[in-house]
Amino acid sequence: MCLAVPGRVLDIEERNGTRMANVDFGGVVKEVCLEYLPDLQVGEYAIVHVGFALQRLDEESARQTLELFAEIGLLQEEFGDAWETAAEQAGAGPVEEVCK
Amino acid sequence: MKYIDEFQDPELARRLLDDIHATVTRPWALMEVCGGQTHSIIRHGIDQLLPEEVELIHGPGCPVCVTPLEVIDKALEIASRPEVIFCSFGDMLRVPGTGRDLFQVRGEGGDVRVVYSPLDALRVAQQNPDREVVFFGIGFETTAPPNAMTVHQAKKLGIPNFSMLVSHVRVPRPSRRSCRRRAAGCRASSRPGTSAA
Repeated sequence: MCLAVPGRVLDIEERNGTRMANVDFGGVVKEVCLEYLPDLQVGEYAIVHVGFALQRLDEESARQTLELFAEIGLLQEEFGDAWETAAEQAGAGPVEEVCK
Repeated sequence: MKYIDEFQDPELARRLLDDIHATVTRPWALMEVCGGQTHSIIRHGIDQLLPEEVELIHGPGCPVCVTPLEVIDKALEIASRPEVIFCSFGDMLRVPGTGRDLFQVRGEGGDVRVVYSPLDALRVAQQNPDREVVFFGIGFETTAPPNAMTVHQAKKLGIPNFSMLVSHVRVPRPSRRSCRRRAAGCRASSRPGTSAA
């Protein structure tokens, strides 16, 4: 019950005044209620929890998150170790070489 | 974009870990609120990849674990009635009440059905107009909107034989409290997805 899973909208229909969709979760197709994301379109992805689409997944925001991860990882490379940076600035190359 | 593969990039994970190791200079206690997160952390060995200074505290757990005993007992009582079809998420069937659980009620002849969504329970009510269908509406903030929407739908469609036994719990206050009670001092918590929003 705890899990929310991303899935892709296959088709949408109005049933008893409610917007419903068939959503593909990597091969398993389930009926999903779109009342909380009424403008979700065929082909788009959403996070689905207990049969309800709760949050749209757009490529742009997913990519931004991934880029943020990459940037966090890159901070170390950018600023590096203070000793290493100082050694490089002094023209001595990386610390490992200084220590040899 | 598949939304899963891109987040399982080993190179990206290694760089993040390097950065965490480089950043941590003193003890940090972090609490994960949800059992699903604890499961993922242990399964993927994240606890072993983190620096020793990072202590992970396992939090209060999911709504399945923290639903009060008296609510479970109410569920057992309702599910035992012959006129009732009792619908529940599968996780709740093994949660013990006083002396028994929903599985046992089913074994004793109770009509207990597992559903994936509260809307499935509503459909059961439509298909069985001569029975009372009760859905066990438990969960964090994440599950509350789907349950509320199902009640809204039941009213809109005029389904008189559908009702809900509701026991929702909120995440922020209990998690703050359990953090404060830690002598070590919990410095952050990781909360279940949409509950944190």
